[in-house]
Amino acid sequence: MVEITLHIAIDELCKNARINQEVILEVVEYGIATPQSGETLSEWIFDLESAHWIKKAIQLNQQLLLDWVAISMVIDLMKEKEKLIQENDHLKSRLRRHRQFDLYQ
Amino acid sequence: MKFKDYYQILQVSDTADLKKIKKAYRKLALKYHPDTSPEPDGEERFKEVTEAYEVLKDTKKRAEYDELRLYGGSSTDGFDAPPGWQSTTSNNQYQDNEHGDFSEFFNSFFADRAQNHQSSQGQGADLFKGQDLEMELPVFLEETLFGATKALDYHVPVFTNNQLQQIKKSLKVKIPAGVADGKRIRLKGQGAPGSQDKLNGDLYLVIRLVPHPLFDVQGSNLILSLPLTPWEAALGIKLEIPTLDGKVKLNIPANSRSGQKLKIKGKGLKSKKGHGDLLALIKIDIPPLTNTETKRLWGELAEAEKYNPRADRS
Repeated sequence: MVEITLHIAIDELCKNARINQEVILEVVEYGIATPQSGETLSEWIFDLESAHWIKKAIQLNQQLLLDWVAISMVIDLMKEKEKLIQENDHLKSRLRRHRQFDLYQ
Repeated sequence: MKFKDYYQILQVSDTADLKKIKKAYRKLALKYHPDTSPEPDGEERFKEVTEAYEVLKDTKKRAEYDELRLYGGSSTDGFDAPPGWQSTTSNNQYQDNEHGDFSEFFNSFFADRAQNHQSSQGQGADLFKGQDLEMELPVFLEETLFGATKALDYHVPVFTNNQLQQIKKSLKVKIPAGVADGKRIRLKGQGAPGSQDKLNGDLYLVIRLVPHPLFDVQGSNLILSLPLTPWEAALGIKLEIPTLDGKVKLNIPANSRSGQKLKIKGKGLKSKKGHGDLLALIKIDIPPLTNTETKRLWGELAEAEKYNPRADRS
């Protein structure tokens, strides 16, 4: 059985994403992600959703050469889009059930 | 191997300066970025554009590329390096995992994994970190109540002699109770292999809740459609209804309305805050008029009951 984790420490995140802690500090300052716990920068621990958005922000910074303000805006929109897609899927599934019920009538 | 015309890919001339190259890259990267591009081949085009920029933005790499281009750029029968040609910018003895998606041409001449990893990790030139992988994991609602052990089959990209191969891997994973749709789980070291076991990438599982035949999910609450006959709704009834882990008795009060939700506390999904609720959504199901006796009884009811649901519209 493989061991699972639901969080990641800043040093591991930095090693995996090949960045330094200052970049993470910048990402947090722009409100893209929030540490789950840890008093000081080197003690920060992130949940995996935050870690995902940090990695995505760094990718956008490197791949599209965008500044952090633009990235923060893009990430906000991406999060909103993900939420709306999920909500839409749930509503579609409820609507399907509702229609089945009407057809049954 | 096929020669890559990076100037053509970025749609610039071979005399373009760095500013022009950067501008062209940004334009095309925005157009084909996998997060935003509607183009069917967007991801492939994005890789090509990134690969081209990776070489042309670097003065030394660009100079070497120009040399290669002069030598055999117009060749259509496959491309080989000039005899005795040696790159000063690449170390292709080890494969660059960061550029694992780039072409064979790039990996043969411009992969500089050793440099990257030396600078980022301060370790020897032959050390490299394996790629993190991400995949969706379908989970049934029932499995989120108590957790479940799931068998997992997936493919790990591995480079051998400049060739990308997909190696099949199987794992058993214990999914914790209370996982929600879209949540991520990390399996440390189960991604693409690095140069050492401790440098293997991680595998991220994104939880996808499988649609249930009876229940809809709303946050940590579950919604169950509950069809009732008009007389059950009018007079009330005690019913046994399904939950995720069995059945419960539910009192339908007299005078229930279509669209009304009856809450069964704690029978929803498990979450950080405890258990959500099960909401039974009442739907009045009118029986088809199949015989004259039923028709007569409906008529009698209509005579006796003067209720008008459209009264407020007049």
